[in-house]
Amino acid sequence: MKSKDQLIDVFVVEDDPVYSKMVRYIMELNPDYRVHSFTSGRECLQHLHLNPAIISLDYSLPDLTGEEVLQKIKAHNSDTAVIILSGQQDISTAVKLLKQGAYDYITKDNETRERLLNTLSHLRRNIRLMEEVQYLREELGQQYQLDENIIGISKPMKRVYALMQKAVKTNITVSITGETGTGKEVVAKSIHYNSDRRKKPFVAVNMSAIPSELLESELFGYEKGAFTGAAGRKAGQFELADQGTLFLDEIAEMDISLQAKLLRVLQEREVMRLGGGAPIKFDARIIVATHKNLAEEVAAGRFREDLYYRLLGLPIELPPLRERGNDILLLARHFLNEFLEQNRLGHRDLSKDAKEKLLHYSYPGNVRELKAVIELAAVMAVGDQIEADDIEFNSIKKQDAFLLEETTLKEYTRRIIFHFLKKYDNNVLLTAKKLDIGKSTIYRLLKEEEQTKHP
Amino acid sequence: MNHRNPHLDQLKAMMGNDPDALLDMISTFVAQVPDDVATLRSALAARDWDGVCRKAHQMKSYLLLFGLDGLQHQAQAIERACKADPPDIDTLQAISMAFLDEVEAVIPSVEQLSHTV
Repeated sequence: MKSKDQLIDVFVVEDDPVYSKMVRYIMELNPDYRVHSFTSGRECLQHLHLNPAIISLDYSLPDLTGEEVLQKIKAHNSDTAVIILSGQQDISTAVKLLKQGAYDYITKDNETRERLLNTLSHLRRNIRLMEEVQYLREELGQQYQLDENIIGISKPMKRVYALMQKAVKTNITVSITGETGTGKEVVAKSIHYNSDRRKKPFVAVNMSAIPSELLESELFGYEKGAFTGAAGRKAGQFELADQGTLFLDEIAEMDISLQAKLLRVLQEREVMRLGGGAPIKFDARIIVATHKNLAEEVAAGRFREDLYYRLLGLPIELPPLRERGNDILLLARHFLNEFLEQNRLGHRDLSKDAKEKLLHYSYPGNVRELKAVIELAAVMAVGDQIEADDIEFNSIKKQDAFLLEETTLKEYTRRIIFHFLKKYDNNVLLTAKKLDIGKSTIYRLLKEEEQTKHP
Repeated sequence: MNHRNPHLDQLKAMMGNDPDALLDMISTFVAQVPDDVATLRSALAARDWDGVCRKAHQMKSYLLLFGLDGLQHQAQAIERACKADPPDIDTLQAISMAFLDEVEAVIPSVEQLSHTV
């Protein structure tokens, strides 16, 4: 049995005192329910602030029709389960009310008790699941606290925080751009879990991960028989994100023909399932992300201009890690601690050389790459200190990476020479031969390096 | 006729053998019926067919709880007659008056049921 604070509020809305008492009696068989009785639709609506989980609603009330009351309850909280109790069996009314979101339609007859108990039993399972979902959402929300989850104090990141703060306070569409691995989805989730929509779903769809021929049905859903293989009805991601946030990742990868349909959906704020006849309204905050420059995609004719402006909303550009200076070390420390804790490893520090090495790399894979590098280094380290040699960069984009970080010709030269020295076991003659340079150039560099380390 | 032979079988099936609950239901019925009868009579006098329909609809559900199936059918007939377009007023008046007399007459029998709980 639940404590007083945990009791589930249940409404019985019935103008017939005899029937009201009976339904209340059946409801109270469950000690976890706190039952409130009301004799009119208006009285029920005035008490919706109590957020009842279940409402047993007589269809024929003296002041408002059951349909009107149902609509108002659903507008207040779509999660409230409404059981319609009616004095007459009317299939068409029942179907209509169920379509409008009623949980069940029960006729007042000899079977009422059994049907009501059966429905309440189903609901109890659903409510338990909803409570679990709510708990997990709150847990997840904790992981996406703005000040704890987005790490960095660099100037470009301060700008990102400022924009995120603006985004969480409104429902504006947000477009996030940034190279792969800069944390676009983390930013999207942080906006969602810090906004008023935090208790509703965050639904992420990656446009590049779903074949284009399946994307439409994935986004908009389908009715049974809409196409070969559509064995049952399926709600689309827009519907699933209702009242929450829909995150459309890699939006630039969307097929141009589907872009037109997406534009219509965003304009009308309603979707039509494939094979469906009636539009379905949705209320979801849209966040899009891409690693591409959408304006360039528009100029190249690969992205619709009207959709571009519809989606632009509040643009947030995530800086590449190589432009975030000492954020690299803050993030490295964060990932290291996280990894050590998760794997129950003892404390480990980054040596000065290791930090230097981390700071001088260009991270084509951005934050995601840094995390992988740090985790590997934590495993490779022998003692409680992570040395420069424990840090290995295995980017598949090494050659690009080399040029991505803008530096001086002298620095490029230094790196190239050290790369080949390492490759040829510090054999100066062989390195000089391979690079077609004088060995004195290499000796001079080594001398300079020595002086820098031990001035 | 079973109109005047109420029983608690249906109510017990709904609420179990909880004597307090059953007594509460009986007293609620006894207190409620005169009010409903008066409301229905007023609606008939005022030719308020929506009001007649609503009250007959409400009463038919609780009459069934006390095993008064015949009265429940009468209430249903009133409801149907009200919804006819146009309503047959003479028939409606006749079946309604008969219904009301029967319902009033059944109250003592329901009250007696408290001795069987």
